[in-house]
Amino acid sequence: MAYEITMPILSDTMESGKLIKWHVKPGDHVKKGDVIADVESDKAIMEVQSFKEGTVKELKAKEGDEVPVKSVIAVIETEERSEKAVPEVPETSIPETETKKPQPAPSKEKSHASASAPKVEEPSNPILEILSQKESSEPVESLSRIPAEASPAAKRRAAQLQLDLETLQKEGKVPVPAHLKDVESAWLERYFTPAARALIKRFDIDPTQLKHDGKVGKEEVERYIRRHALSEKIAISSNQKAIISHIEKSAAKPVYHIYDRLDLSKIPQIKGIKLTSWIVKLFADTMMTFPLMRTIYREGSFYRYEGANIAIAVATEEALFTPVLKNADVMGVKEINEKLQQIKQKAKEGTFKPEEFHHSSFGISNLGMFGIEAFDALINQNDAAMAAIGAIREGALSVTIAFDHRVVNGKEGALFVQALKMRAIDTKYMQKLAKRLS
Amino acid sequence: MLYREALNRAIDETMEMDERVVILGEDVGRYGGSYRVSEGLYSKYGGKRVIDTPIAELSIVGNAIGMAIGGLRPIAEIMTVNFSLLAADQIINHAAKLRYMSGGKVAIPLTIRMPGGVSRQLAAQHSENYEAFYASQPGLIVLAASNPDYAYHGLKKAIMMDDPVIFLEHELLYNTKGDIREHKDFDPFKAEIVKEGKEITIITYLKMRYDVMDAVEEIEKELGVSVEVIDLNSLRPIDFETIASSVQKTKRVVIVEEDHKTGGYGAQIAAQIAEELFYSLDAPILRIAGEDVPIPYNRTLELASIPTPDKIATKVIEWGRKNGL
Repeated sequence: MAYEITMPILSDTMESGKLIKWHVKPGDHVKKGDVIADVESDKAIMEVQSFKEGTVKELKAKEGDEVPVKSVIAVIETEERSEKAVPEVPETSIPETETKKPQPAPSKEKSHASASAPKVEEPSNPILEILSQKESSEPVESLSRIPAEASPAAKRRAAQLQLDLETLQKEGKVPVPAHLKDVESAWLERYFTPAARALIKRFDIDPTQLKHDGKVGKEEVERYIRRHALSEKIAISSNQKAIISHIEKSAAKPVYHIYDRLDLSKIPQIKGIKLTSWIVKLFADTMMTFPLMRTIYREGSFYRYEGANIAIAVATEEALFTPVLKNADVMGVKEINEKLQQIKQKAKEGTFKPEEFHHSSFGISNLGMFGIEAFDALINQNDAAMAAIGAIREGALSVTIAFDHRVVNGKEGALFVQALKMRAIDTKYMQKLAKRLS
Repeated sequence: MLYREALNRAIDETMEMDERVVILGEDVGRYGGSYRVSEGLYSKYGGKRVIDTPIAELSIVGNAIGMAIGGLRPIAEIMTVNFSLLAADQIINHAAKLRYMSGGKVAIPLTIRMPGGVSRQLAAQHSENYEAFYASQPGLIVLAASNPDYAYHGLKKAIMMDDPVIFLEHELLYNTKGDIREHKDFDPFKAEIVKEGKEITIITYLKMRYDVMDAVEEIEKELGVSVEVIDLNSLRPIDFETIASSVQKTKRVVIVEEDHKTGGYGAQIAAQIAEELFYSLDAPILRIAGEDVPIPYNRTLELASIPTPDKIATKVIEWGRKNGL
C-alpha cells in the first residue's frame, strides 16, 4: 500500500517548512526509522524519518521548496496490504541542541522544545500546541486555552503572571486543582527570595509592583519600602489593648491640674530606701486627712475607701502596669520600699494577678529618674487623682497632680497639695518615720 | 415588632395615606387574615376597602386587575403561593402583560402578597416555592421579605409602585421579631449585606437567611475564613451589582435556597455569575437547595428535604476544603 509522508508540524507556530535536502530518491528502499529528508521549521532544521518500511515511490517536493504543513512530501510503497492509503506524520528526530526534556516555561525556547518532541501517535496534540504558544502580550485573552486544572481565577492570575501552570503542576510545585493562592505563592517563590517574601508579607506589598527581571532580593524590597515610605502593621498585645482602652476612658475624665514643688530637704537619707518610698508614704498619710482623695466616682455614685490605696505606675519595655498598694497609710516606709521592689520584680516577670490592679483611688507616676523637669499624667481609669513626679532641682521635687473634677474641686485640691508640702517639711513627722525604720 | 405586624403597619399606613389602596382575599376582612396580617383593618376601613372574597384565586387576582385598571391600588392576598397556580393565568397573561399589550397606556398598580415555603408539616401541596416561576416572567416585579424591616418598607414601596409586584413572604417568618429602622431613600431593589466577610459569599433570601446565619459561625471556625452573607430582598430585578462586588472580593460563591435544586431560583444566579464573573471565581459555585422531591409530611423527612443550618455548614465546609480553603 502507499504510505504518505507529510510535512510535519515541528513547532506550534509553524505553517510551512522548507525542504532542505532529500536523503532518498525514487526507487530507494527505506527501513523504519530511516531519515528521508531534512526540513527547516521556523526554529531549527530537523530530520524527517520514515515510519514504515518500503520503497520510495515518489518525491512530491524539490529541495528548497516551501511546503505547507501536513502536505504530502513523499509516497512510499509498503508491502502491507490495505484498501486505503493512510497519511501519517513521520517520526522526526530532534537535533542535539533541543534534545533536553521539556523544562518549565517561561523561556520561549524551552516551551517550544516540549512541543517539538516526537509525538507520533498524536500528530496534532492540541494541548501541546497550545501549551507551547508564545506568551501573548495580552495574557488574559489566551487564558481560556490553558489546559491546566485550576480555578478560573487561578488561570487568569497565572496568565497575568506569565506562569505555565500545567508544567508547575506536573512538577508538583502547584497542587491540582490549583487555586488563586497556589498560583500566587508559586510565582512569589519563583521570583522572590525568602527574605524578600517575608518583607512583602510584613509590609503588605503588592509584589507585582516590584520589578522582577531576575530574582528579587531583600535589598530591593527594602528600597521599595523606603521609596514609598510604607508602614508595617504591628499587632497589638493584649496588655497594650488594655492600656489603650484604659487610657481612652481616662482621657474622657474632666480633669484639672495643680503644679507645685515639694521641698525634699527634710527627708532622711537612709541606705536602701528609695526616694519613691518616702513620697508614697507622704502621699498615703496626707490622703488620710483628705477623704476626697480616697473617693472615686463610678456610674452616678461616689465610693470611698477607708485606707490610702495608691496605684503605682510601673513600666517595662513592652508593658505598663498600675498595681495597687493597698492601705499604704498603715505601712512603714520600709514595708513600702519592699512592696515597691516586689512590684518591680513582678512587672519584669509579668506575674501580676488581676486583683492587684483593683481598689485604688489615687495614682503615682514617677519619671524623675529620667531627669525630666515636670509632666502631666492621665488619671487611671478607676482613680480620682494622679500625681506626676518629676526630677529634683535644687532640693525640690516637681509634682503635678491631675484631679477628677467630679470628685475633687479646685479648693480641696489646693488644700491637699498645701498639706502635702507642709508634711514634707515637718521634721518631727520625718523623724518618727525614720525611727520606725530602725 | 413582629413580621406580620410590620406588614400590617405597611398596609395600614398606605391605606390611611391613599384611599385608592384596598385589600382583597380569602378571610382578609372579618377574620383578620389567615396569618393575622390584616388584623384590625376591616373595622378601621370597612368592607368596601377590606374585601372578603370567595375561595377563587383566579377571580381574586382578576378582580384586582380590574380595580387596578380602574384606578385603585389593590393588594390581593393569596393564602399561599401553592394556590396562586390557580391565578397564574391572570397573573402572567394579564397583570404582567397589560402594560405591554396596551402600548404603555394601562398600568397595573397591583400587589399580590403570598406566603410560601416549607412550614411545619403542611405536606406536598402546601409547601412549595414558586419564586423561580414568577421571577422568570417579564412584566412582574418579585420581592421577597425576610425580616420585619424589609416587610414594612418593601411592602409600602410595592403598594405604591405602578406595576404588578409579587410580594413573597414565608410562613415561618410571621411571628419573628425585628426592628424597623429609618432609611433614607429606601430602595426595595437593593440587596442587603447581612454580614461582611472576605473569603466566601453566601447568597440567600427569605427564611434561608436565618439558616445561613446559624451556620456561619461554624463555617468560619472550621475553615478559618470570614463569610459574607447577602440577602437578595428583590428577586426580579436582582441586585447583581451587590453580588458582583462581593464575588469579586471573595472569589467564592455559595447559593442557599429552599426551593428544589432543579430549576430553582439559585440556578439563575449561578448562571449569571458564571456568565459574568467566571474569571473571578476561585472555586466552583456551590448550590445548596431543596431535594428534587415533593415536600414530605413526616417531619424528619421534611427537614431532610430542605437545607438546615447543619447541612449548610457541613456542605460549605466540605466544599471549602476541597477547593483550596
